[in-house]
Amino acid sequence: MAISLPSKRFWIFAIILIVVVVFGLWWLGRSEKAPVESGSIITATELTPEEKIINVQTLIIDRLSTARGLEEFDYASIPDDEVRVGTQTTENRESVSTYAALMTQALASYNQKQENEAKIMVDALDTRDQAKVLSLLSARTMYQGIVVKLESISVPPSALAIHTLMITSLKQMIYLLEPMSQILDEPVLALQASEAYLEANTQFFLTLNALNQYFREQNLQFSDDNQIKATF
Amino acid sequence: MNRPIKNLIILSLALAVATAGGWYWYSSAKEAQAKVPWNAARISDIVNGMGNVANADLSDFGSLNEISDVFRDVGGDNATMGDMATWLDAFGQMGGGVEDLLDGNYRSIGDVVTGLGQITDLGGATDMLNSLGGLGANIDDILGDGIGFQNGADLIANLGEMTNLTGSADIIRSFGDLGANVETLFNGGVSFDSIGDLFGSLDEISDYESVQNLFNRFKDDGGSWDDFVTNVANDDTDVGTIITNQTVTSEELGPPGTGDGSQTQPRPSETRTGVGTEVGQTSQEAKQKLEKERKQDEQKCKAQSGGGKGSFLGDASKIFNAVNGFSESQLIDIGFDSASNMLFKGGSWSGTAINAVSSATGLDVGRVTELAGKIPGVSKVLEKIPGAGAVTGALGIGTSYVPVQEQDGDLLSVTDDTNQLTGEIKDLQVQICTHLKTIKRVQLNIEDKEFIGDVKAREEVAKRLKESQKQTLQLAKEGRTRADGTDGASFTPTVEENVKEKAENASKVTATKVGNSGSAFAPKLATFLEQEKKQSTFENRIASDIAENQFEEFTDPKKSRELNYKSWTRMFLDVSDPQNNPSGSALMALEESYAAKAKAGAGAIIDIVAGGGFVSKTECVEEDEDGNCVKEKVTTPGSVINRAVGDATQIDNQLTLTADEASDLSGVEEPGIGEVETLEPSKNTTNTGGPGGGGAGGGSGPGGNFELSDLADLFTNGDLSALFDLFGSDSAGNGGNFGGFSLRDILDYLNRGGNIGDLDLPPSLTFKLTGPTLEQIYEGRPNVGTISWKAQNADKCVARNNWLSSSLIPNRVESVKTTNQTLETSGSLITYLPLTFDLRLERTRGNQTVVIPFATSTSAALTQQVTSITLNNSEVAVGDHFSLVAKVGLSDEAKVTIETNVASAGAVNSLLGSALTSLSSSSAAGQEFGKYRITFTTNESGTAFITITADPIYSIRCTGNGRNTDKTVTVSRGS
Repeated sequence: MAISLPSKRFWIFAIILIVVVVFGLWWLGRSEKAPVESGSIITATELTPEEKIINVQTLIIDRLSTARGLEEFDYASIPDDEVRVGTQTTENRESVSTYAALMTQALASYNQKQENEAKIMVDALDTRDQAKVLSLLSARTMYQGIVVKLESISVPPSALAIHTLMITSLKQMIYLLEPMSQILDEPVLALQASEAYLEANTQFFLTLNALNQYFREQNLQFSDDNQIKATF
Repeated sequence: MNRPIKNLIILSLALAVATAGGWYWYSSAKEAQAKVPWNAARISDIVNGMGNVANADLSDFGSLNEISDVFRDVGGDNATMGDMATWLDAFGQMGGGVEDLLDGNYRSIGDVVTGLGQITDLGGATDMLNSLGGLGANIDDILGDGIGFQNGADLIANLGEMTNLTGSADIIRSFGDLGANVETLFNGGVSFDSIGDLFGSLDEISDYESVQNLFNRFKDDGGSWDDFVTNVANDDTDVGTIITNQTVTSEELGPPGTGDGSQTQPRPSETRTGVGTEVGQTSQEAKQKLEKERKQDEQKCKAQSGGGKGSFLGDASKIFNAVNGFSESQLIDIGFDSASNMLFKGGSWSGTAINAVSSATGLDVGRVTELAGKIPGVSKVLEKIPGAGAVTGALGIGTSYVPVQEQDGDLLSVTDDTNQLTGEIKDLQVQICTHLKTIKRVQLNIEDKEFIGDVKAREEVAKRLKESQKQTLQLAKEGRTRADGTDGASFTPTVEENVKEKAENASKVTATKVGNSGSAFAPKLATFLEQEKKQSTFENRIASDIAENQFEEFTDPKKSRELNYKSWTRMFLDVSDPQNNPSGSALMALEESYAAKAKAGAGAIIDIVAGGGFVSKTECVEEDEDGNCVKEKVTTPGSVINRAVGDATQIDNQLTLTADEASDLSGVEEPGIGEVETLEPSKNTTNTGGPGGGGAGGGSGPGGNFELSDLADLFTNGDLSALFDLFGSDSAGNGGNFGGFSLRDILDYLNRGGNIGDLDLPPSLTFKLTGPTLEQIYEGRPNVGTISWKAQNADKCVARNNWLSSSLIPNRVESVKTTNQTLETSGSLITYLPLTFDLRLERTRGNQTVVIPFATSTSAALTQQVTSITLNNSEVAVGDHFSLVAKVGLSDEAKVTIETNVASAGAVNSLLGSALTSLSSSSAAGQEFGKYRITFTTNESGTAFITITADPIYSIRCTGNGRNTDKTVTVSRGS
């Protein structure tokens, strides 16, 4: 039986189809989705530099025309109290797992963190927005809650250094948020405190990464729900 | 099989083949992407894929072109290569240093640039230079001998092909970030061969802003106009050409110039800071200056935050993780104390430790040492944690604080991209730093303006006014040339004299005209006029031609007959003249008297009219034998007094118009015509309110020490404000009529004239209290009072009482100035209100001490606390001890204790009052209780009341020339 080949028009159609499909699939593979934006600590402030400086100048002139000089931050006042946490008497995989579970609970509220507090403070100064100042105090409350939980956790000896540093960093952040919240009254005090805050915040972020590395080395697995969104 | 079915089968087969082929291509693409990720970090992945840099022999590559070729082969096309900064950052993360990059393997940085030149999205020069900085390069590395660019032109030329080159300013700024200064850039053979070289290389950059920025940068780095001219002159470069070509005027370089470089003096705006402090500076110039300063702040902050610190990030992270990964025994082995103790301090790592960390991280020893040496003192706690100190230290104090390279782990879900995060944090640091600099600058400007600029301006104004006054007064006294050619006052000494002067002049002119006329009798007429002029005076006219006895003989009939006809006729004619007979002379004298009165009256009217109702002040210059003033001259025209008084009556209105804040209106009457109607100064100079609401307290006047002449002096000196200040109130606080003298008295005094130059004036004292109103306090302004004082002619001032202020410690009152404390003759201070305290009455009976109940309130004016203690007889027993206890400082107490022998509250009151009175003012308790006003009262039923308050009353005494001036202000803000 002779097989009659498809018509010339069919082959043209088929070839075009194949080319389209191949190119399409290639393009699909090529154009992987763009890197996920993992959040930003900087949100565009629509004020022009001139407007910002005018706001700041107005604030300072008002401030200086009414009372004493501008207060400055005393870096030596940053607390470095000894952190006292309980340690596990025996350390094994089970105890570390327990520790990990408690840590995810303690740090869960960190997911609420949005912008960096120093950025919020600068925005508050630029816009003279009291509402932003209040959000600094909210963040302070959040960190205080985390510290309370962290201090109640029994820590494996191998994680003690990281755990202690984490609490210390948070306590420093909590302490510094107080003068930072005075940005509209004592701008120099607040800005200088925010410089120290960035350092303390970095310390905390480092310890968070170190903790991550620690659990990785312990081969611990976490469900998606227990993951911490580490935003600076 | 029919055709449709066959077609369907073949089509299905073709689709299957296509799908399989497509899937193969898809997978291939995915695989390729895995090798060269499409995210920003793909180059670092590639480099990481090449292995640890410590093991990578870069000399295997002949040039960067070869590396680029490898990248191109792997990456597929140039467009995917990423930017230079990313590449260099990755290079740094591998451990590559600037020596690796620039020494040996690459002939010069020009090779780097050239090799990467085909990468179209190569970052700008700034990025590249920042990255080099991040790798530890300094300006010498980049521009120095033999390593990189041969000179600045080489650099610029190589960078010229970068399409997104942002401008020379960026390049220069990057140089600055790398530690370059003007000398580095422009002197010697290190960098640019010449300034012409620089400008020539930058020719392609034609936008004004860039060149402007370049010049700004040049100045920021210490460059001056002289530097510029000197460098250019050494190159035989024409400054004008450069400036013209770059559309920049010499103004941009600082000094005001003619363009020929001859100007070397800096502009005023370059030598002073502070808005509004420069004479002649317009608001537009001030705005531009502010904007320029802001940009400079930002640039400095960017420089401080460091460029390309992201490369530290990776290294710090590695160290952090590596040290954490060491076991305790390892730490001890390599020289660290222990994992939980101080691992390293101040960069004092042991060599073993550094080598161990270097080995574990892949970083070279120098790099680890460098990072270990940057441990900040601030991070005390971090020093106790293995590695953490190094991490933070790597970020540097006050420079860059960045997190580690995040590792997607099981605990952390999403983290920020390191490079992005680094940039964002850096940006945040720059913002904070810029704000701080801005605030500091604004603060300095305000202080400069307040304490220097305004003062200087006032001094300058005073100086100019003084000079103006001097010239004006000189004009008034000597500005007119009299008819006789001598200099005289601009105002006429007397109306009569002026009229006479003009009349005599007119007479002379007429005589001259007659003498020159065509009259045949001209000579005689001239003589006649001259004689007539001589006889025009009353004395000449009334002078008799005959003696009195001649007249008597002529009028005596017996003797008259003895005269012959001729003599009798001559005598008759003589006696017929009025001056030669009594009645005629009397008529002449009477006429002269009337004329003199009329003239004097007319002169007086003219004077009064000219002075607008005020007569001129005169002095007598000639008296007759009887002491009558026959000639006087005007020393101050009535019109001048008129204007001065007019100004004086408008003082309240002017103060109202110039008030800055409510408190400035304290003691100022509402605008009106009261003073105009009564010619009395406003009587409201004793303030009834405190800072704000009603103003600060008024001053008590200088009492009876003052004399009318003082006022006159002040008045004639034009210091009307001081005059009315002194007029303010008497010692009893009654405003107005000082010492019984009214303004009219002063005017009369002035009219009479008075030598007031030699008087010893008491100090003129201005004592002012300002502050916010109650309403402003409720709106959030601090509840303070600003006391300021300024005394003239004073040797010293003292506080007459304790000047109280609320302490930083809650409920404590402190004396910012104590009684009799010496003060500067001018100054100011701030007191904080309300004056609250902790003062209570305690009763001790046996071993038991109780606090007697009390009520405390703050005055409605928010100025002071009032504490009321009620003590009933039932609370008192014989032998009880009662103590008034005042808290001092944080925990100290001042105490006055009495023991009562009668069960009477009134007795306790009396004893306590006596105890307080007996306290020595120099004792600690005496000083403490001296702050309070404590009153003891007892009612008919025997209940005792103690009322305690601290008064915001401030009193000052200034002394000079042996005389005192006292003033007192009270904060008694109205509600």
